[in-house]
Amino acid sequence: MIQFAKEADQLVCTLPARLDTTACTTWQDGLLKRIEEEKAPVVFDMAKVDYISSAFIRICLQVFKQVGEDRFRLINLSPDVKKVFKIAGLDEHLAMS
Amino acid sequence: MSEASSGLAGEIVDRAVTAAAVFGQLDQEQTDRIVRAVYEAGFNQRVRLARMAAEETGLGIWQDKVIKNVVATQFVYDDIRDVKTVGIIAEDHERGIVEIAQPMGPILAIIPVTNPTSTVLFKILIALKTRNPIIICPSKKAIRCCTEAARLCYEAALGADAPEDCIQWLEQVSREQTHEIMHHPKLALILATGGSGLVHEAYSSGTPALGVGAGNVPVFIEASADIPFAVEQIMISKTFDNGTICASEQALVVEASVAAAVETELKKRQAVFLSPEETARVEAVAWDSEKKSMNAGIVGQSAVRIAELAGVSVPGDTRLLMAPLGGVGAAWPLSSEILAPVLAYYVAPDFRAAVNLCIDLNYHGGVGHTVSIFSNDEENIRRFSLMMNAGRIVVNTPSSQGAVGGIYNKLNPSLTLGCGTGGKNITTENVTARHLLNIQRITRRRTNERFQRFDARRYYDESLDACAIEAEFNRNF
Repeated sequence: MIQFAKEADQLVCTLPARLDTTACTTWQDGLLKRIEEEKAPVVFDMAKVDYISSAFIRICLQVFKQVGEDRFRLINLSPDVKKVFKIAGLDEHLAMS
Repeated sequence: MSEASSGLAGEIVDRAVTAAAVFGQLDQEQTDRIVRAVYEAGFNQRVRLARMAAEETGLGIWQDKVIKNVVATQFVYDDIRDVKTVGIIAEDHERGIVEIAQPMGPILAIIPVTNPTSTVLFKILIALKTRNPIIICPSKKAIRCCTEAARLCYEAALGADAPEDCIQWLEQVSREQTHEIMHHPKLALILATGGSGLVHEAYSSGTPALGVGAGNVPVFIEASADIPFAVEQIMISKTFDNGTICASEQALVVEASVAAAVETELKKRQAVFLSPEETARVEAVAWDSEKKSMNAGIVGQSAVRIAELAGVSVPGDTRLLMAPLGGVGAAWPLSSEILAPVLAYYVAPDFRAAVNLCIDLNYHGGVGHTVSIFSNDEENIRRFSLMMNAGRIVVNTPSSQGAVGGIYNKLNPSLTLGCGTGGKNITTENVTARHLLNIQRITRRRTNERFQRFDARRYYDESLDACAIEAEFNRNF
């Protein structure tokens, strides 16, 4: 499951390894609700993630719209995951490192 | 021989069509005799042509252009000499398939300013080996050297009984005429090596085209690499012909644990690290901010000359300008392709971060072309390679010469490097003679035994799903 932490006024969401459609469906509503409540910049820590689904990409875009361009970023991406965003052409819109 | 003024495009293609018809009668032995004669003629003039190219274009280093001419003749000839390209070229009796090689027809060869004579020699050899007449369309800045290379090849070909007009060339190049030839309905193929505009025009002509894509080659020195060796190889590659090969390294990415050693070795070899202010000055002369591409004026110039143009003081023996950058993309112009001895430089904290940087560089204008890694860790070489989108992933090799093939590896030697669909090309291979053939297949009746014994009426039974049909179809008695 997702672990939440407040660090330097940011909501850091540490995501589990496999972000397939089933997993995303399970926690999507809770995640978006928490983000709405916190009203803080959001960071997705992707250090453990080794697979992302289209459902997760949709969640990223939803969060991007919800909190704003400069208040959402993804960190600690593995090359495999980074390549997915690159091929999808989303790296130009989503801040990631 | 051609006099290519406006309105003669059709005539040129018509002559090539006649040459194609005659060429089609030649057998393998006759064809190979022509190729041998042309190879020798080109090889024997390698130095004169290299000097001509360097003088006329003002780009690069003539000694390195000699090596390019050697690759385009000796290495290409070695690679194609024993390849069957006429008549029956393969027979598989078990499968009942016989392959017949047929020439394609007249080929228009677009020649870039960066590798002029070598590309002419290379394209002529692979065209003649496949019995295709060729029309050489040189860069406007390299007409004399290209036409001379084509002329001497044609003379040698005629001396070996090649058909008249098997090689033609345009002595006055205009965009309109090139356009007209490209669109000519009797033209069979365009071999488009050059800038993205010309390659795009070739693809848009409706004539089949083998093109190339732009490069932006990251080279990664991984922690297990032999550092002095890696740096020496990069220097050999990036300074070769003043960086005019599109497979030359554009950005060096090193892991932090070996960065100090890499920097020491680079400095030992006359690489100069630029300060942020100096980097900005070099950027101003190397990058055309209006066109959003490298400034053509610095292509193939020496490091010292570029420093001089930028108003940066460097020692007179400087071979390479190193530009440490903080990122990749439009905000960092030197992270783009610069065909000159200027190399972007990045230090990454670890392997993962370094590969991520290489992904950024690879996708910043170089998709499908070439990437390079120096490493002695097979697993990391594999992990790196799987993340890249590149037709050529060269390992422990100078990437300019490595991508071209034949010197440091067994890739087909070629001056036309396919970049796959990422580079808007149909192949990721090094283009060579086999790409210039239409292969016909005679296919004999060979019974599919499983289909023979299967009751085909079962397909009409909707109650049988794929698994049920498969079980019956594949049943082993």
